[in-house]
Amino acid sequence: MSTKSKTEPDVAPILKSASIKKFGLFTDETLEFSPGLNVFIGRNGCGKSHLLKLLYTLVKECGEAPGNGSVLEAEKLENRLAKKLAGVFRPDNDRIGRLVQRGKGQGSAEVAATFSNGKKCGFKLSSQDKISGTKGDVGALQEAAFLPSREVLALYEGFVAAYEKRELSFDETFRDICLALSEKQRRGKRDVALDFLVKPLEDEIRGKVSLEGGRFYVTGADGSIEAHLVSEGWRKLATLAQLIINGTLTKNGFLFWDEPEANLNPKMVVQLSDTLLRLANQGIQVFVVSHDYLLTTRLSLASEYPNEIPEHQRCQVKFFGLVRRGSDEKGVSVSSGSRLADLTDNPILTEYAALYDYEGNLFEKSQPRA
Amino acid sequence: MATPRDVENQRFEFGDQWSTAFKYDDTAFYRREAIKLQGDVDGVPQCSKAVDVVGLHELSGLLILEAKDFRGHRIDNKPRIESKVAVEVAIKVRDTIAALVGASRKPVDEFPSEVLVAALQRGRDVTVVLWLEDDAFRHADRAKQMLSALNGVLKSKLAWLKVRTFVLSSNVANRLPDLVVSNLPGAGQPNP
Repeated sequence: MSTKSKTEPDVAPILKSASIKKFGLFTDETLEFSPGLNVFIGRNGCGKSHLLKLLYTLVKECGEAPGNGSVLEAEKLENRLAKKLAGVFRPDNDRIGRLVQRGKGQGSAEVAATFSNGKKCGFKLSSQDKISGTKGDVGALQEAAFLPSREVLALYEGFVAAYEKRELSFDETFRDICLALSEKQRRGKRDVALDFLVKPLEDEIRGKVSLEGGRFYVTGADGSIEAHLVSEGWRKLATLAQLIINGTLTKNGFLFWDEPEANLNPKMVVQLSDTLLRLANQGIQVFVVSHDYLLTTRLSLASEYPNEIPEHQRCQVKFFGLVRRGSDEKGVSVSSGSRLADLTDNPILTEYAALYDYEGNLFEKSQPRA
Repeated sequence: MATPRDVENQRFEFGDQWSTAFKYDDTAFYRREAIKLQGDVDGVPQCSKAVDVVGLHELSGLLILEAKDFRGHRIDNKPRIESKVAVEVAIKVRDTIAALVGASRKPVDEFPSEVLVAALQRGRDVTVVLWLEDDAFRHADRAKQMLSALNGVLKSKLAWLKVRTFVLSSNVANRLPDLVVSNLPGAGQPNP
């Protein structure tokens, strides 16, 4: 069951910006987010997934704070944040101080997020695992869903119970998404907006997703098939469909998705990009980490040709390129823009260009000179 | 002594390593003979096509080159770089090779048709190059990504012929031997 306090979707705040100091690879960065779709790209080991998890932690925990400013409430928020950081990042022995950027002596990280209502949430974290200076009075937020790169529908059955018994070595985002998936689907006839989001996904997986007896099924013309027996790509789209149908993903809600393209064929990636744009168009704030050329290029084209794409896919898209600084400097630098071309470093494009050069060199060798 | 061939706002200067390099679509054979293969099929007009240049390099073999320059076109009538460009080129290659075979069976002396057909034999290297210019290619990395994708399509369309294909542009390294390519005056300027 979700414990998130609900508010009117139209007035629920979304994430506007985040300032991150000395957390993981982020030395001192301020990121201004799009209310629509945010895409993080970068080579492996640049902190993209950490960033996604950090934002998720802030949205997940700070939004639930009553925000009366009392010492008691601040302590509660400190405890919740500490527990969530430990669960989501899983540092050794729950020592969340290990998330502070490493350096000589003791240090501390400082994280602050600003929401669209102007309110802030954040915390300081010492390398001695102590959280302090919390702010969490952002008001009630809509639900946040974090989809790990590994799909979860196949491992759903009995996952939460096993996780709570500490029998599984998964981070807490897996538990959270399984809980979100367990929410019952809305009864009755679907409204137009919901059907508009779900129908393309159901067309792609050729069926409807359902939860029966602790297992997920995809039911189509050939009958019910256990979710773990359909392809992983279909399971990913089915997961998304379930989160939309059961109301987890709704206007002014948040979707964090780490490498959604993993195990999807190119046709499904096209479907995925259209779906992400539709979700953002419907007011869901989306944060995606991607290494995929097709996905990122299609999202960039949506940003470059806003008047030429279908109206239901129009939304603000923002790209963030994370690049490791040189060996003499710590951490990553972040560039951003509404198109892939705006980024100072696009490793996906660089590799494609390198592929052209590689083929060019082979081609040149095949053209002997006198 | 280099042999200059002007195509699509660009000058292709073939050096001495090229035993021949001629503008095939300007030959009398194409304009008077091969082009006669035309007519309507089910209401769709059909016509024998031609590439811009055919050349023969002493080491690297037969070259079939098509050049396209989309620079400077006004945005409202700008041709688009898309996979159909590769299909169009592949069809031109098909028709050109068929016409070379036809020329070798006739008394054609404006180009060495028999030598060129011999260069098509099994075991001999044949190269098809699409030389493409577009305003979008100013950023070299982006150009390479687009050229690479287009070459993938061209390669698949010509897989039946067992040739090497590559898509080149002035903003990336020229991979062809003994060939200098330069812009002619007015290249890249908006069309009137």
